[in-house]
Amino acid sequence: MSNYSRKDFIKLAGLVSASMLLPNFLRGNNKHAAKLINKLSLPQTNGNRLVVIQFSGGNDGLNTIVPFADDLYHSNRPGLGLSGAEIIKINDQLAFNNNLAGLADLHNEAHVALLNSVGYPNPNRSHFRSMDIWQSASDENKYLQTGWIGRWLDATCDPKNIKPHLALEMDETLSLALKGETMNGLAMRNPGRLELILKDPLMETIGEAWTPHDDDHHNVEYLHKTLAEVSKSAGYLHEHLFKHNAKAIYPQHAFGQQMKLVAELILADCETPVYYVSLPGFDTHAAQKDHQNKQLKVYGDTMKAFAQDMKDSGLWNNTLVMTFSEFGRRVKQNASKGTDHGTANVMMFAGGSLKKNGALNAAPDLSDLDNGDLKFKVDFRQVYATVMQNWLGANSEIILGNSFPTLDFV
Amino acid sequence: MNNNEKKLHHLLHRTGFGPTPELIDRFSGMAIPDVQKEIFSDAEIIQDLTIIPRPDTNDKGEVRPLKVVVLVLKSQKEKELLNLAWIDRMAVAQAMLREKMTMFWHNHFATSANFGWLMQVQHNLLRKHALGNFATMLHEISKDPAMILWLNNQENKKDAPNENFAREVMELFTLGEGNGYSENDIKQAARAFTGWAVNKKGEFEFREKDHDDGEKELFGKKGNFGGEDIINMLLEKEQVSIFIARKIYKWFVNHEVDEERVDELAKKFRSSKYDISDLMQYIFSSSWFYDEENIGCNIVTPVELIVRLKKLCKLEVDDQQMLALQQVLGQTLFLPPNVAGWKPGRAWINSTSLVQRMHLPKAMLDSGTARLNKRPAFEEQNNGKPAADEKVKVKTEWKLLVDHFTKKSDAELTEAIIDFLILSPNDRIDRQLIEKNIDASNRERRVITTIAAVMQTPEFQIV
Repeated sequence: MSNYSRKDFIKLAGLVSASMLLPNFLRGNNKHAAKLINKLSLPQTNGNRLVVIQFSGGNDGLNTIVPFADDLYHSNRPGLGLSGAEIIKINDQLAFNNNLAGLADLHNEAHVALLNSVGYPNPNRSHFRSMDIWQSASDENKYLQTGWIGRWLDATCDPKNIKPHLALEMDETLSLALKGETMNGLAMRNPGRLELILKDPLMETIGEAWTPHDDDHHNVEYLHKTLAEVSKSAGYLHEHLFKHNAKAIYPQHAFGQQMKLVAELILADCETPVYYVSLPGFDTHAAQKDHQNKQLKVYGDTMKAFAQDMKDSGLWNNTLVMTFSEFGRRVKQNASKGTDHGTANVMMFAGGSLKKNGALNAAPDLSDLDNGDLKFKVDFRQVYATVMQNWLGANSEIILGNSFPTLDFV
Repeated sequence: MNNNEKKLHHLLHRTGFGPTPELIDRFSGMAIPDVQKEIFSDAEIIQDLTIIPRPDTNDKGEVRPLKVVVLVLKSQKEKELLNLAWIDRMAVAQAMLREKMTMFWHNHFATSANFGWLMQVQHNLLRKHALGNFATMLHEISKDPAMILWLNNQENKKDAPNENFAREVMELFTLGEGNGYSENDIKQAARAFTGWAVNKKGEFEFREKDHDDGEKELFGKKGNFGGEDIINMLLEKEQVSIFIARKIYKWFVNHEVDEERVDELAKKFRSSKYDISDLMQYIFSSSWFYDEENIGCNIVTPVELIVRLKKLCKLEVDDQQMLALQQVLGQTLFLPPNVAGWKPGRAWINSTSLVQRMHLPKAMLDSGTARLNKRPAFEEQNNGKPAADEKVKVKTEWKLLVDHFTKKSDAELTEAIIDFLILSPNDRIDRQLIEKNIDASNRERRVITTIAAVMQTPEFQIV
């Protein structure tokens, strides 16, 4: 979104919202205008980009952002609790796990915000179900077939000009979060896979031959349409891949490399506003400490590298990274020096233009538990509403099907 | 293709993995009811998978305990072996309908316990009852060790009930989400299942000391119910027949459900006291099963696609790549995404999976190479080793198919191949585009490249 000025943008936004009155000259052969109209098929996020990071497996939030000053924390976790050199203090209550040193550095620049005790009523301790709840943003007793980012695509994109790469997941398969009613995001673990389509005359021609129909009822039609979309996105992404090399050093871990790819796409001015990346390996029922520390180090180091690349190109102010997990873990450690499935958890945010930073709310209250689990204080959909409303400039009520009070950190 | 041929192709897709030269030679010219009879007769063969040996035991016959990490790794490998063996089996099995039904039940009772040998026990249980009686199967799967471990009934004890199994047996196995049970019914049922556990020999065991034998009240009844009573109470509900019939309709007739047909099937299912074979025979001999709208309407499942390609041209890739292929396409046997199993239909299709589906036939030409992510070994995946893009050797044999089209002239070839491979509406297939992209340097090349090109159409993905 860089080939035209903000003034142009606003002017044209006005025109399009009154599209019923679209002047003839814009419909016809005015090339410049046609190009600008086409641009407006993009969601209008003011140039803001969102990167969602999913910690899969249920990250132990209490050993991530550590309530080190709470005696209950240490008495519940003999041998597993962190203290001394294992933590980096944030305030007199909370500290980073020291493997998050990269994130702590960003915090020193006021570029990190932490929200404790995020969850939902009647928490589900199943990985799958709880992840579905987080991804679909549904009530805990409802089953939705679409995700919050997918519905954001539905609500903000032109159905006549579908671009799946507007929500890009760095994975083999597309998560529920990015599936909408009429539109889907695009999953791309490996850019080479998409090139297959461009190097194959048959596939490409079939994809290009498709024209929009009103009725995609039959599955044959659906596959043709999907192929056409993929083919279009593949071409677009291909033009933007490997154009800019990220300069920072990312960990040689799949997650680090995926975030590097995200950075390179952003640096190449790719029009994608939403990226989705997963870091698995947080299901730490046994021997948790080493394992979780390793994962957090990968995350912290990656975040630092990513922020550096964004800062160097002046893009950090337009970038928000949001990190969540499907649930936190029990306060009390189990018999095998691990933790079992729990409930409410900490969410982490990073970006160059946070309105508030540091700990946004109180440390979790370990003396007021529900069956040994943290009680949630903030509904995760308040966070989604905030991000969609304040950051992506979308109507969160349409997307979430309900009105949730927004927060004020972005 | 004449009407009878079309019906035959349709029946072969729904009862197995689609037409092959061999099956067409065997069945062409026969009346459809006679074909159906032979398919059901073939399906009587029950052949267990016996690839995972019983684990080491002590002199009491108890399995030696393993560290969790070792157990998870070992079971992961064992589940991969089971997966590969089953794929191979499906590609050659004479009892194709039984294999297909086994897959349906594997999806219905979706389990992936961390114990390969127990998964094999469960797998063979499902195969045994795949065309048997649903009530019997439900009773047995509820006591199946892999299921008990998977849905945490091992932890379901009098003093600390675990509701996981009680919930899923209603939500996923019999009634469907929110259909005729309450949260209290789940709580009460969980109490009835307390003490249903797996012993150290890996067998079902009823632990009286963990069982809550107090009075329970659910579904409007009071009594000192045990687990069997709950299952029987569920089986008395009409909703069970509707729920199962609807799912079978989805997978074996049409993803788009016709509720009137479902009611018809449910009634039949109830009247036979849950005889699965009876239900399936009824479906395949109903005239509506052969209606235009039910033919060539479903997106082929990843495993069916792989098995179909194995049957048609002996597709072979090495073991890790076969697993990677399933992963990319979105269906890895013995590794369902969650307890609810795989969702059928459009859920199979995303950018990556569609491109991979359509790329595969091209890669199969000349026993060529396919682009696949080289799958890091399981241990390395856990350490976050990135998947590297790699060319993968693909082996194929085309002779069977080439011979099948011997009698067709060059001019008739494209149409004949489309007829053989495509059941869905095929008017969008660009014949000229296909003929422009084939290698016509000799007859064999012409046939092979035409087949591959037709397999590359989106239409090939619909059965």
